[in-house]
Amino acid sequence: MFSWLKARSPESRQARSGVRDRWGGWASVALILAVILVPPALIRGQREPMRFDDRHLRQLQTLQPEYVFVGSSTLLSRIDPARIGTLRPGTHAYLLGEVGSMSALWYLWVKNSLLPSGVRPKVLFIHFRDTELTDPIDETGSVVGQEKIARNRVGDERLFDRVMGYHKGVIGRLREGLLRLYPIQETWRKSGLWLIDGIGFFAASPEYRVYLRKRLFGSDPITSDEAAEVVAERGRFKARLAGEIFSSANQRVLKGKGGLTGGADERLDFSARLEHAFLPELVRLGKEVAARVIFVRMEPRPPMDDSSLTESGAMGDYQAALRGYLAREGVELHDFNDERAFKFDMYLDGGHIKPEFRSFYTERFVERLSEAFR
Amino acid sequence: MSHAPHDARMFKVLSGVLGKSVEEVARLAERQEPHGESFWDSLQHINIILGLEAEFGIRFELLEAVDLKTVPLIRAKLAVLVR
Amino acid sequence: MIFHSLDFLLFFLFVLAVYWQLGRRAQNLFLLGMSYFFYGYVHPWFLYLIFASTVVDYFCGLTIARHPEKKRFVLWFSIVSNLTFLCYFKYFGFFVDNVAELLHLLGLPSFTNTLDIFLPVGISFYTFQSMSYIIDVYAGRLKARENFFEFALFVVFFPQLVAGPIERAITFLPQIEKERSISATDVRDALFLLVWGFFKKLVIADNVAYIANKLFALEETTFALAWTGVFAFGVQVYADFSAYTDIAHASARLIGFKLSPNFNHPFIAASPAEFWKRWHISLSSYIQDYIFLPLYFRFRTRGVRYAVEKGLLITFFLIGLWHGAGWNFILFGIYHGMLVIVYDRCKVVTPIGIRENPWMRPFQILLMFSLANVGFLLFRESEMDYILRHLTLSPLAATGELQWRAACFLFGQALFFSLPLWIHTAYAHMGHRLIPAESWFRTFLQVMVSAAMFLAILVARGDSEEFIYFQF
Repeated sequence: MFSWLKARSPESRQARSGVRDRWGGWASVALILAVILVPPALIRGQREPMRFDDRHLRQLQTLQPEYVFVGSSTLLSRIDPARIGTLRPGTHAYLLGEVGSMSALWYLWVKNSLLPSGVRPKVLFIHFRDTELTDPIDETGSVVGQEKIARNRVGDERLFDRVMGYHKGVIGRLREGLLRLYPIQETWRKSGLWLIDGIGFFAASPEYRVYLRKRLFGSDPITSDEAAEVVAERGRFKARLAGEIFSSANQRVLKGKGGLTGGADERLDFSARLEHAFLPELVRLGKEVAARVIFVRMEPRPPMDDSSLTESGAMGDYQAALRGYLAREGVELHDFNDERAFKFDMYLDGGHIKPEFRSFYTERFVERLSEAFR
Repeated sequence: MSHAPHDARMFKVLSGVLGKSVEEVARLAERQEPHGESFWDSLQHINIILGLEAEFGIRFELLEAVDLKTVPLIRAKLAVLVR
Repeated sequence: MIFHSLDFLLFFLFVLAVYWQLGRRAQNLFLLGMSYFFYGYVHPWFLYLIFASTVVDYFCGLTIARHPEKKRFVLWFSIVSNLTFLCYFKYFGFFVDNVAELLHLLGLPSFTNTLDIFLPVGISFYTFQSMSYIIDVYAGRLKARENFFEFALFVVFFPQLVAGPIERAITFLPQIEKERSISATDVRDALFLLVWGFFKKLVIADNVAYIANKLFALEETTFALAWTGVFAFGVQVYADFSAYTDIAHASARLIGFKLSPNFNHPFIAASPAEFWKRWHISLSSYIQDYIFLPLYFRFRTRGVRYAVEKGLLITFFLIGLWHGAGWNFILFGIYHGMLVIVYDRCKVVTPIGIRENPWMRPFQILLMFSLANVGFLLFRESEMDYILRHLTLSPLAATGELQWRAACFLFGQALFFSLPLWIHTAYAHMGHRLIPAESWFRTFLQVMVSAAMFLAILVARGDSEEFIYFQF
C-alpha cells in the first residue's frame, strides 16, 4: 500500500550516489566544519573561581532583621526596607532579592544564607508572580544564570540538582554540554563586554582617545597612575550613564495592556508541577526559620483605565490549588491581584513599580498586612 | 548583440526608461535568466510598459503586464503580439 | 520553534538525518509532518488555522480547474476567506480599540476592549503565499494541483513559514514536484550562510537591540540620543530580518530547495523605489504584481500619473498595514509611498547629469539612508506623541555634556556592531573584482571569516530576542 513511498526515481538515486562519489568535496566540507568548530573548543581560558557568595549571610547577621522578604526584581521595585523601619520603628527589614531570580534561587538563599545566619525573623515574606513558585528556572540555563546558581549553592545539593535536572530536560543538558565544550562562552564573555564598552568609551571620550594613541603609538611608557585613572574615569562615566541618563526615573511608562495573567491555552496543572518544584522545601525551611511564613502573590500592572484584569480559567484553577496547598501546610497566602490602590501610572512596565512609588507601595503593603507587622 | 527581431527597439525603450546606454541594457539583459529578477523597479516597470506600448503600437492586458518582468519574457511576449 | 534555539538545532539535525534517506514522495510527506511539528511546537492550535487555510485553497484551486465558469466566484471566495482569518487575528482588536476611542472622542458611551486575540505567528506570510496560488491558477499561469500533500507542503514549508521569504506557487511548487539533490558545494555554501545568519542575529541584531531598547525607553531625551536609538533600531531590523532570511535560505538549501531572494543590500539604495527593490523583496514584488499593477490598470484610463500615484498610495498603505495593526505601521507605509511619489516627481525636474552622475550617488545613498531611518522610527514607535517628539527634537538645541557623550558612546557601539554589514555590502559590490568567484583564496577567506564569526557568536552574543518579523 505504501510502496510508492519507497519508490526512488533514477534521478534521486543518481543524486545520492553522486554525493558519495565526490568524497573530495565532502572532505572539504568536513575540513571547513573542523576549522570553524574546533579552535574555539581548544581555548579554555581562565575560569573565574565560582565560590559561595556569603554577602546575604553576612548582612543578615549584621542587621538581624525582624522581616525578611524573598523575591525577584519585582519585589525590589515594590518594598523599601528603610520605609518599613520608619513605619515600624525599631524593626529592620531585609530584601533577599535579585533581578531575574525565581524559586530555584529563593530556595538556595533560604537554605544557604538565611538558615545558617542564625537569624530567626518574625515573618518571612515570599513574593512571587503567577506560577513562579512551581517554575524554578528563568535564566538559570544561561551563562549568567549558571553563575548565579554557582554563587549560591554549597557543596552537595542533591535535591536542588534533582529538581533542576527535571526542568533542564534534553535542551538544558545540551546547553550545559555546549558550555563545557566551549568554556570561552564563560571565560571570555567579560573580556567581550569590556571590549565593547571600550569601543563606546573610545567614541565618547577625547581623553581616552589620546591615552590609547599614546599607549599604542607613543614612545613614552604609560605610567600605572595614568592607566588607573583611565580605568577609574571609565567606571565613573558608566556610573553616570546608569545613574543619570538611564536612571529608572527617566524611563518611559510603556503603554499597553496590563501585565500577564497566564495564557489561556497554557496547561497549569498545579499538583503535577508541585512534584518537581522547590515549593515544598521552601515551605518546610520557611517554617523552620521564621515564626510566620507569608506568601505574597504580586499583582501585575492594571489596564490603562485601571479596571480589573481578567484572569484565565487555567490560572484561576492553579491559584485555587496553590491556596489550598498552602492552607494545608499552615502558611498564609495574600493575593494582591485584587488590590485597587496601585494605578496604571505607578508602574514602570507590566511588572515593576516606578521608584517614586516604592515608598507608597510599601506603606500600602504594611497597612494591608498590618497584623503581620505588629 | 540582438537575439530577436524586436530587440533593438526594445533596448531603446529600456535604455530611455532606465537612463542607461543601449549597450549597457543589452549587457544586463544578457545576464538575466528567463524567470529571474528584473533590474528595474515598480515605477520603471510601468514606464517600460508605457514605452513598449508606444513603440510597438500595442496595448498590454494586466496579466500580460505582470509577466513583463525580464528581458527574455518581454522578448517572448513581443514575438507573440508584434507581427 | 525559533531558529536560534537548541530545539531547532536538534529538530533540524533529525530532519537532515532522515530526509536524505527517503525517496521524493516520502521526503515530501516527511517534510510536511516536520513542518506541522515545527509550527505547532509551542502552540498546537496554530495548526488548525494553517490547515483550514490549506484545505480552502486546495479545493478552490481544483474547483477553478474543473469549473472555469465559476472561477471568479471561487477566486473571491478564497481571497475573502483568507483575508477573514488574517483580519480577525491581526486587525480585529485594533479595529475594536479604534471604535471605542472614536466613541469616546465623540462623547458617546464607550467601552473597554477586553479582547485579547493571540496573533498566530507567520499568518501574514502564509496567507499571502497561499493566495498567490489561487490568483495564479485563476490567471491561468499555474495548473491547479491534485496532490493535496504537495500543496500543503508549499503552504507550511518550515524554513520560510514564519517570516518568509514569501514564495510564489509558480516557482516553489515545481521544486516540491521534482527530485532534489545536494552536493558538497551546496552544503559548503549553506554552512557559510548559516554562520553569517546566526552572527547577524545573535551578535549584531541582539546587541544593537539592547541599545535601541534603552534609548527608546527614555522619558527625557535629546536629538543625538533619540536618533542614535533610531539608527540602532534600523541596523537591528535589517540584521534581524535578513538573518532570518539567510538561515531560511541555508536550511532550505540543505534539503535541496532554493528560496527567493529577500534582501539585496538595502542600505545602499539611492532612492525609495530602489530601497523597496532591495528591502523585503519577496513582499514588495508580491505587492507589485498582485496589488499595484491591478490598481494601475484599473485607474489608467484616468491618466498615467493619477493611476501610478493613487496605486502607489494604496499599495504602500497596505504594505504598512501588512506589517501590523497600528497607526504607526500605517504611517510607515504612507510615508514610504509619499517618498516614492515625491522622488518620482523630482526625477522629472532633476537634470539627468545630476541624477545619474556616479559622484552624486554617495550623497543620494546618505539621503536615502536618513529618510529610511525616519521610516524605521515610524516602524518602531507605536505612540504618536513620542513619534512627534522625535521629529521635533532640534539638533541645535543645547545638549548637556553627559547626554552628548552618552550618544557618542552608544552610537560608537552601534556603528561598531553594524560594521560587518557595511563590509559585507562593500565586498558584494567590489570584492568580486578583487577575488575571483571560484578561487581557493575566496574559500579560504570565507572559512576564516566564518570561524571568526563563530567565535564572536560564542563570546559576544547579545541577550536573545525573538525575530522581529515573527510578529507579522
